[in-house]
Amino acid sequence: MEDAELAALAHAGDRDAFGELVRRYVGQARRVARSVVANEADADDAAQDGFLAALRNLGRYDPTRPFGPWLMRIVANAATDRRRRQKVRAADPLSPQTPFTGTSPDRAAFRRQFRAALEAALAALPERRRIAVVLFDVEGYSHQEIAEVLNVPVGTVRSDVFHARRALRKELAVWEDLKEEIV
Amino acid sequence: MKVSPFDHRPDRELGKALRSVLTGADEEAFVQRVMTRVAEMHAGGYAGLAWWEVLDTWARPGLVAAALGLIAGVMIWAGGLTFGGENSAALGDPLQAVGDSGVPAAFLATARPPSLNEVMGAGLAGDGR
Repeated sequence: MEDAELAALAHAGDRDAFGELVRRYVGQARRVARSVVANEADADDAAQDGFLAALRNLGRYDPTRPFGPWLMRIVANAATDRRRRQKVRAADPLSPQTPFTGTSPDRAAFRRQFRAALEAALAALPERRRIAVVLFDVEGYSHQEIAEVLNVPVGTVRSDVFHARRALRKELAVWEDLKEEIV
Repeated sequence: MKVSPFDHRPDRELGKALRSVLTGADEEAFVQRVMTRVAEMHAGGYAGLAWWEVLDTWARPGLVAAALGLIAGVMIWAGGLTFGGENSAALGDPLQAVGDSGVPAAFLATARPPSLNEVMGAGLAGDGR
């Protein structure tokens, strides 16, 4: 069943239809929220806020347009709101990591270091660039769709993706020799 | 495959790395958690929008209505000043206009004898003549 049909059923009170929409977009929503809110638990709270706000506002959804960008816009806004409210609870940013160079190659340790380094590189980006690069390179959204999510011109999205990629690529380059094992 | 930052295709390698960092654990548990909240909303008499969201939807039309009301009020007030000036002149003219006889026309236009106040008013107004 198409997203728009599920959305119409959910708006009419069909909980199973809404559950199906949640299942379809749960991964995306959590990742988008996580790109805005550093803490995983807080990001999940934000993603949940986004889903519930979407349910309350299903009447405003235009079924002729894709559901994903509409939902991601709500999730991104919910995550931004939550991050603003939690400024006082913000965790210390992770310091940049360098690859583990010890003699015992511990794959799990490599992975942890790599994740921490990439998270730190992502966290160093402006929020809009983080969302743009995640939607483009992880979720496969088009520039136009991301422009709708972020409410900015398409040219701005292209620029955001470019700058974010360049910064993250720089971080990945440090791990070039090990990435086959850890990614 | 390495993708240039200028490339308009998704960078699979970067995408895979970011996905590994951002993907949360146990999706099904998260779905259940959301659906539990949805059930609570329905049980709590959920009627589509929360009260603050209803107010939010009215905020913009409310501001527009207030602005229109203000404009209409100013126009009526300004119009009232103009009309009010004309009215007072129209009422004052018959008493102040003095004919050839030297008697205000208002006294001649009616068979009713003028009251003391009217005579006194005309006398004061036409005192310089």
